[in-house]
Amino acid sequence: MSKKRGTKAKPVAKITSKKENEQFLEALKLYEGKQYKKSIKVLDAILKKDASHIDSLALKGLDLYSVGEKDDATSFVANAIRKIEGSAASPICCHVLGIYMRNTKEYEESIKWFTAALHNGSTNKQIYRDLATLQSQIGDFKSTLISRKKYWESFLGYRANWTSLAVAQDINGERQQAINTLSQFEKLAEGKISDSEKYEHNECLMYKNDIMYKAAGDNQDKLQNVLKHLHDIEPYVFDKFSLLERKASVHMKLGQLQDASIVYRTLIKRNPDDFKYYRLLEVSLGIQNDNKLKKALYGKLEQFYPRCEPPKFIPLTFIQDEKELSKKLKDYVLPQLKRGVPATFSNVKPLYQRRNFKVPQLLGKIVLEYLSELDGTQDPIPFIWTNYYLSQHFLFLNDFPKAQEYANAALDHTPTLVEFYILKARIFKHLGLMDTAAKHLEEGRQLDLQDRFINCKTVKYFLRANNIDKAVEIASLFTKNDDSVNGIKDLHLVEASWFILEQAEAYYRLYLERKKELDELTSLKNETKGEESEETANDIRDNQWLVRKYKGLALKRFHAIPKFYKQFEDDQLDFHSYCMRKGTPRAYLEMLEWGKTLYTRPMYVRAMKGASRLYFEMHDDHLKRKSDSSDDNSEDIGTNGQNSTSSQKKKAKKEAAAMNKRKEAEAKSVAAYSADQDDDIFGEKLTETTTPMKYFATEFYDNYSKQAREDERDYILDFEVNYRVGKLALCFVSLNKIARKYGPTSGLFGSVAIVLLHATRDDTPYDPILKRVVTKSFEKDYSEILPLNEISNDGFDWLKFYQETFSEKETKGLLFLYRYREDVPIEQSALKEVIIGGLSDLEPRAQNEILQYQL
Amino acid sequence: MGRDICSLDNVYANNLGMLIKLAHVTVPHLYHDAFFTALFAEDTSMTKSKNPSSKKDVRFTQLAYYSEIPVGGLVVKLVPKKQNELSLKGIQIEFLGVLPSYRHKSIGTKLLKFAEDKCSEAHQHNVFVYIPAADNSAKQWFIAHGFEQHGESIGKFIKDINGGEQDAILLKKHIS
Repeated sequence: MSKKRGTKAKPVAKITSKKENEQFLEALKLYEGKQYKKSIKVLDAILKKDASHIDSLALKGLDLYSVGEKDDATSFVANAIRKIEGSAASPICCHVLGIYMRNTKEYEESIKWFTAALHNGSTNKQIYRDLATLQSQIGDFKSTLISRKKYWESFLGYRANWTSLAVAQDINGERQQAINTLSQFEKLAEGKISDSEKYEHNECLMYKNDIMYKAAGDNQDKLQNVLKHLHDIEPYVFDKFSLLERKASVHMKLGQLQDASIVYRTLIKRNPDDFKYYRLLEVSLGIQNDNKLKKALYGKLEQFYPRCEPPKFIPLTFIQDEKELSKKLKDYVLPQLKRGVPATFSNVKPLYQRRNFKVPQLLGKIVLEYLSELDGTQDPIPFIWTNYYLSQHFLFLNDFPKAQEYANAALDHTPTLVEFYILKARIFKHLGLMDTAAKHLEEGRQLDLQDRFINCKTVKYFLRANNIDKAVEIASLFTKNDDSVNGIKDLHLVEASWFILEQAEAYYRLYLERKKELDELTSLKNETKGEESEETANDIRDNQWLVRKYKGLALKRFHAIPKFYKQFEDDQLDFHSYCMRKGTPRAYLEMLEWGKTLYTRPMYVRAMKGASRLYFEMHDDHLKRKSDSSDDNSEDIGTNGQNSTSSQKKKAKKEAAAMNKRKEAEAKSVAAYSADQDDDIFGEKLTETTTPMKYFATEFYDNYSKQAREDERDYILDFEVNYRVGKLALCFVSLNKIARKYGPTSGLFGSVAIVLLHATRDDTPYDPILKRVVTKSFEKDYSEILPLNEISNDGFDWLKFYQETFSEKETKGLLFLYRYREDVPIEQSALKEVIIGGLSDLEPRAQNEILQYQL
Repeated sequence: MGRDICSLDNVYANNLGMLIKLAHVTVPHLYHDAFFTALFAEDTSMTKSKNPSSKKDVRFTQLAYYSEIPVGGLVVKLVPKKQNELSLKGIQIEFLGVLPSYRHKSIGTKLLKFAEDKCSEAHQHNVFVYIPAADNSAKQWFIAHGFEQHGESIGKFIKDINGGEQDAILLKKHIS
């Protein structure tokens, strides 16, 4: 189509007849009435006469998009845009293109076209509203403010417009203006608020107070004002909690501690189960550090609220005296065990973690004593739950045999409680026996097939045991399976990220296992060259396929996660207008905050790290293949070509057909999306990318990197990414941060430093200027810790240096070094030995994981 | 409050596993899983089933809960006709068991009461059970609950899943 360029220069086509114009408007009306097919018919009539009628081209694109013919739509729109280039398009055309771009989620383009529509003389003020929504979505709040203002000027009669203007002003830091905007509307609306508008009104009043509070800072007068405003709006505000909380914090800021404490007591009265208010009450009374007074306070509060947790629990967190603490713990835990509260251990687990030196041993003694008084048949309920507690207690202390003993006692006593099976499985999990763990959970699951919780747990454990088929089978019991053989599609549809991620990790582990096997087989084959048996050849082919399949599926599943998060981000679009209409600006601002941290959520980060392993490997393999010179490859092809007689060709063809058949059969059970949305069921295309680092960046890393807070960043990951794209200076920055976070004697720092140091050697492919920069930085910052001169000394024993200088027991650091063993002159087997030697401190599960999948 | 800590409820396809577990724990090696799964066999498999008698059999099942924990189970069969000279008609208890740690809490009595009620509902007058002749504690329990022995012990009547055989006695209780 690009050959038609000639038409672009001719402005003749611009003179459209009156009739055409009328026809076009008719088509537009049809589009608005959602009669896309009819609209297309009319447009075709215009285009028949004038094939370069831009407006019609654009509208036809939009129509086609609306009826689902997206590919055709793209070409029509592209055609229209090409014709516009250089000449002024009609405002309607720009508007149509803007809507099209919004539909295809190209928000920045959409903004461009909407703006163009306005520039070219559109009088349609609605465009400003759409524009504001899009600008908010991409985070361009300066422009949002302008658009909101324009729209507000044109439609003063709607509260939503005032609210949205105020929000835009607030976000841009124009707090006073925002307050004025809201006040103005309040004045206009005074006395005219109907019942149905009261909630909205209350939200906006509190929102105004929010802004005032933010604007006040520490200014006493302004804070007094905030307080006064709170007092004024009190009768109209329904959200009493926010009101009281605000009141208390203003009092605190003003130093009126007693007033604050009264408010906090009111809040506790309203909700005596919220720990937060108790803490704040301590602060307002100024007794956070006075255990004696605190004890008295909580003693009183416990009498006031005898059925509430906080006054009973909080003293356990600060009482120092062992005798007293012991008594308090007893009073807290034993009644729960007596009642048979399954969550007793979970309730005190925070104490186990925070007061690790005191609480576990005290509670262990107390509960063991209690158990010795119990009789299994006399008081069955306390007996089983006390055993359950003790099992968890010993599991926490990593005393697995004891944990097992108490879990068994509970299970023997009452083999019909699902909880005990879960606990038992958990113990096996920590022992690294994933298959046994899954087996026990399965036994428990059989007891109660309608229990979703144990269903999910069992699925997870089977995935951990790399038994994907069984896991999928069990998970599918609870999914909507309509026309598919299992629940995989449904689990993607409902965004069950826990399942997808666990499955991805299982596929990744299987990939590693198969690859190991394949390597062994091929080396075996190379040894016995010439007389390769049919069997090994088949084995190899089988493994090759499995390796490819598992790798592809692992990537495919990892990629499913960012898809969800992009969807979450996109879901915000509707709320830029919806929240204003519903009058919930506070919730709206909360949503914006949430949107800013979306890509740092644990699930996303876990998926990113999982995918990073594969992408890093693909990148490294890519480099290796390049440097291994191409003759290796050509030889391979050469031998293949020479040996292939016609019978062999036939055989190969047959095998390929069999393979395809097998793939087709399997595709049904692994497909994650419906067939028309996915042409890469096994993720093979993902594995074939030639720019893995770039792809990893756009799909995973960039979004994370933009949003991650400095204190939560993963510097190791940053380093690994930048190291591969050759940004050595940034690597050094990461190294500095690692030094600050973990200390310059930590193993992690040591190994990262050694790797980076070796990147500055002459024979590495990095930019020489960068190398010099890094070398200089090393000399400046770390010349005392690191033997910088030894870098060109091939005989230097870096492993010995590492062991002498850094905390060598730290497996994390050693594993990092192991991952980069080819870049550092360290003997692989020696390094491996050191790592294995240090494993004994870890729990069995972690040991297994490292031995199986990292070495 | 005043709620009884022990309650009965029906068995459903989804918690059948509980009943199986209870049977295996309280009376080891006697029941095949198939005996229980047949209780909820789907209609199609019923008609196709090789054993035509299973279609006609009417069975009632219950689980007993102690503090919401399943601790006891019951399976009874309605036997509307005498099958031979020695046997009886009425309600036959096929499985009645309570976890050892939860005995002496009248849970078994409750389950038995359920069987007796079913018996009356079905206009029958006998509740009966075959127990191993050597099992004294079971015998005592049933006799304490109003059962009496019916006829002599029957040789090698009970077959367990390992192929072992035991003599059995028939106990019955008359429900008026």
